[in-house]
Amino acid sequence: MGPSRRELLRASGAGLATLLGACRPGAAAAGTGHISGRLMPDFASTGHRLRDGIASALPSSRQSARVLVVGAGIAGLAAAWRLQRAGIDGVQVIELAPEPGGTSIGGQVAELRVPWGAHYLPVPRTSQRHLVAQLEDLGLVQGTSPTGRVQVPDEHLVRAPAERIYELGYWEEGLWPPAGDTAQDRLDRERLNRLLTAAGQRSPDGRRPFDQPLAQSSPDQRSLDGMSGADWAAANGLDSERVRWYLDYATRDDFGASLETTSAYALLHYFLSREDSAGETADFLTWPEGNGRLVEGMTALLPSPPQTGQMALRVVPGADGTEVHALDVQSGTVRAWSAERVILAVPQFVAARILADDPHAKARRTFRYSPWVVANLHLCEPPPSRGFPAAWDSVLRHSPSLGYVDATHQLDRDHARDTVWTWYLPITDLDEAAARAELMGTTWEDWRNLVLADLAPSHPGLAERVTHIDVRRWGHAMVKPVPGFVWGQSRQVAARPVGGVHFAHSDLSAMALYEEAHWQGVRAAEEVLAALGSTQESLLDDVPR
Amino acid sequence: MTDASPEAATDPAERVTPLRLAFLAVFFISACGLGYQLVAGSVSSYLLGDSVTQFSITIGLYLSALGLGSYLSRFLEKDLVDRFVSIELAVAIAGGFSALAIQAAHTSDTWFRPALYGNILVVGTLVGIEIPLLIRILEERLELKELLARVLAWDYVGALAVALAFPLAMLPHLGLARSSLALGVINAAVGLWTIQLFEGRIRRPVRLRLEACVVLLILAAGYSQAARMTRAIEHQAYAGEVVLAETSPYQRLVVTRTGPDFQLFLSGALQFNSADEYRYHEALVHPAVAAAMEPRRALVLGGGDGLAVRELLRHDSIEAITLVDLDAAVTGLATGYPPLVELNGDSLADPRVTTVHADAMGWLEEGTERFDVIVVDFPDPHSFSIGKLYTQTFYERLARRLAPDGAVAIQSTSPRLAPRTYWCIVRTLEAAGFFVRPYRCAVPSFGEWGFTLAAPREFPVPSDVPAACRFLTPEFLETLFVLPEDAHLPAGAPEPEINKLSTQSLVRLYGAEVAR
Repeated sequence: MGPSRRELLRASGAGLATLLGACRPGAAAAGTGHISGRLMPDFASTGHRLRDGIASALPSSRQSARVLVVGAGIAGLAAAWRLQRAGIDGVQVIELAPEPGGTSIGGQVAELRVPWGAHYLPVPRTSQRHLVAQLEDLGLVQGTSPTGRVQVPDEHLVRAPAERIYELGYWEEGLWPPAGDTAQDRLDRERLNRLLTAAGQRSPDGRRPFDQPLAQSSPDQRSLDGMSGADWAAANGLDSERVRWYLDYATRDDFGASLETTSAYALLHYFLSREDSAGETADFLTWPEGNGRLVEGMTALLPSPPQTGQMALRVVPGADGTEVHALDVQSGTVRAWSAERVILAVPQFVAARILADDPHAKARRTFRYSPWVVANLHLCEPPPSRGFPAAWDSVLRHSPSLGYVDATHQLDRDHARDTVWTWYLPITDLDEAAARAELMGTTWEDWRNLVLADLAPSHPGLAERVTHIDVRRWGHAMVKPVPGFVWGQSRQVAARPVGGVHFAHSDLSAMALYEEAHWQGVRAAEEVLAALGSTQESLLDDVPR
Repeated sequence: MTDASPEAATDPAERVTPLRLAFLAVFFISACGLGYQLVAGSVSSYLLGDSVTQFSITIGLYLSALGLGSYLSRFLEKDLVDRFVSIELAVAIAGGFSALAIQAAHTSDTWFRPALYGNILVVGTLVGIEIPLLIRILEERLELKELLARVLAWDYVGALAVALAFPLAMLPHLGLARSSLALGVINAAVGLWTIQLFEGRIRRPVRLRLEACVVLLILAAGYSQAARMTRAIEHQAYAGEVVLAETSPYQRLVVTRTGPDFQLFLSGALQFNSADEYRYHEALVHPAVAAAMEPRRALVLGGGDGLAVRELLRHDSIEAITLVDLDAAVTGLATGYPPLVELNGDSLADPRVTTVHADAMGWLEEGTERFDVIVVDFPDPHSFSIGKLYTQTFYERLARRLAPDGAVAIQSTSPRLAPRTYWCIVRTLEAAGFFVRPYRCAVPSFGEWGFTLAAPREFPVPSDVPAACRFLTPEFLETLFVLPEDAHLPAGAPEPEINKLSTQSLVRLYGAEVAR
């Protein structure tokens, strides 16, 4: 682009190109003033503020349900789906946010669907029957492979190339490129692989030490929960900086926690829990809007849609059922629900606040959660990048962020030049409360500048191609599997029913995984089925694989 | 040495400054040394695409050349400062022009690898001599312990500086050719400066100064002409004279001329030569028309040059043709570049033809209209965005847009040059449910070329061809379906993996078979 054009642009008024909606690469002096966007509304903290003032308000209407599910995240939706599948009538789901999905919601930026949180599901093994049944109901199952994995249509799998990494000034394929490797890096990689193979050995009865669902794991490796991933790496002589980074990337990616604050058991679970009988890792199901597609599919299967904008204020278990007071955020009125059974599909820090006379409040308060920030950037055209071509996931080696995922990777619209990148930042601070407070004080401009600064080195000319950035701050995005928590007492105590109240949330599995959220939802639903005297075949049975 | 100051052996006023400055020289030569390594890595990343092996080889070779240089430094015994300056100037030229040299060599299949590795070896060896030589020059001034500590410290600081500056500042702002020339300028300047610093220990200061100035002038000339030289190198890549070159959002279009003929290249790959394209396009189009029961509606995917459409228009039975090509720049040539308009008979202006600019994979999924004849004429699967147009999912979508008694012809690369690629395409079509008949013909500009005729049912070898053909006759058409022995996979070779969106195995297969 010649300087004459740049001068022309400047002379004709800086806003002209923006008004015309034109892509203007080369307008280096453009700065960031042309970028629009917003902070997405944060319903959880609005909820907290509201509740503090209203918790004592008297109900103005009453309604009853046979089973009331509080929370329409993956666990709540899975519970409602399981009950509906068992033919239970009178199931109602209520949800604080304006739409169901929890941290799996999708959204839209400039006509393109985007994820706002969880954005893929590893293809389950046939032994994960609760997931297989779900995918069957959604019409996604084509068959099963000889190695015990469900087969799904190829067009819903992450397309190749899946991953690339930016480290040495150009992009390279995969997360472990050989360029720049030292002898130590190579040796430690091989050592890591040997350690993983050894740790994943099944017990004589065929059980896996790191399984999904977590609850079916054999007890063989549970002592690893006593140490951090970093201690485990050090104890096993994994000193290579690259291998340490890789392990840390894994825990930040899956748990929003650093290697130092993640249980070594959880670290190994990340690597070993998804292998099939041939030791192969899973392909990923994904969609432009991420797991928002699964949320939409599950919601459509329910006989009545979740009631949104309903904030549970108080849950009181009683001899003749449970009473739940819920605030309608729109009208400001409070409705009293009475239900035979209640499934509290909310994180434990919320359950601890709303459940009256909670005998397990102490256990619930030990749960820790990492905040996340997710940004969706609309680009008028892909900026140049050196080396390996655009992939689904682009990882930055020297960044606290995880890099970005291309939300249009699964779409066949090469004729349109624009695209959306979803940028993920787990906030791994030790003091989560302070980090959350700081996070909620940030502005959109802060995040615009930070996201651009993070991505600019790997993409010269990025800023002038970005047209819009939407940012979502998640205060409690993921439960943290800190050392001692995965196999400690807290989560088992917290999962015990209290009167007619049952509990379902991924945090009860210590890991914010779709599979675990779903399993917890189905588990709670089957507890309710048993209490209601329904004789359904369980979807949770452990079957040989 | 008993004195606390290691420099006390000589008069401080005279010695301190040169010594400090000499460490600054270490900083710059180390920075340049790593810089050349990054240049070589980046050039091979540009030119060899995603070949990770190349990165490893580049870095390993460079490191071993450094070792070789260090070893060779022991054979330099006299006039160390003179030698050091000469080495600096040699590094400046060899390293400074390394990016242009490697790019220039890329036009030759035979010489590319020798030139790439030779350049790395030469630059690495010269850079390897620098530091040991400098240590020996400074040896008499400083205790070894102190000397090594300082030199190595500056060595690593220099490396860090360029490791940051190269990807963040140099490459984005200067580009490859000028980045490497700028590093050369720094080396030459260090040489000139060394003459100044060690004035008293130099045997031929005047001559070396003169040489350094000449080197700097050459580098400056190269720097100012870098863009023109890069363009000249591109022209050299084509056998003919480049008569038109433009860059669309998707690819680089280059038209060349040789005598009365012209050629179209997309991203460096020959699409057709006007001298013999009729062989390719007759073979691509007419078998599918003949295999379709009632060829009335035709679809062409890719083929924005209008040459396949020209062949379709020879059939009176064809009532409507839809051409779907991603790149408006290509169809723009077909309607606006006179030699091509003449060659394709202005086919895209025919009232029976509708042109659409879209991603073929999405376009197939969006509509429901079925076609009797489909001609698939995409570039070879050299990138992931083209590779998806050869996947099982793509062919399944194609099948849904094909009439039950219709037929498809697919450009399938060369069964002789890339047999595993060719048979992967054939097997992937079968996996999508097609009945297939592989065939081939000789196109002098391409060599032996492969196609696949496919239909949702069994069908006989076709034998009808339009009267106006220059290449095909009914008798000859049948022989295209007889494959010579060397167009098959060798006996016992593993069956190619089906090409899927989630693996894109074909792109890697093609890369491995066709890689230079």
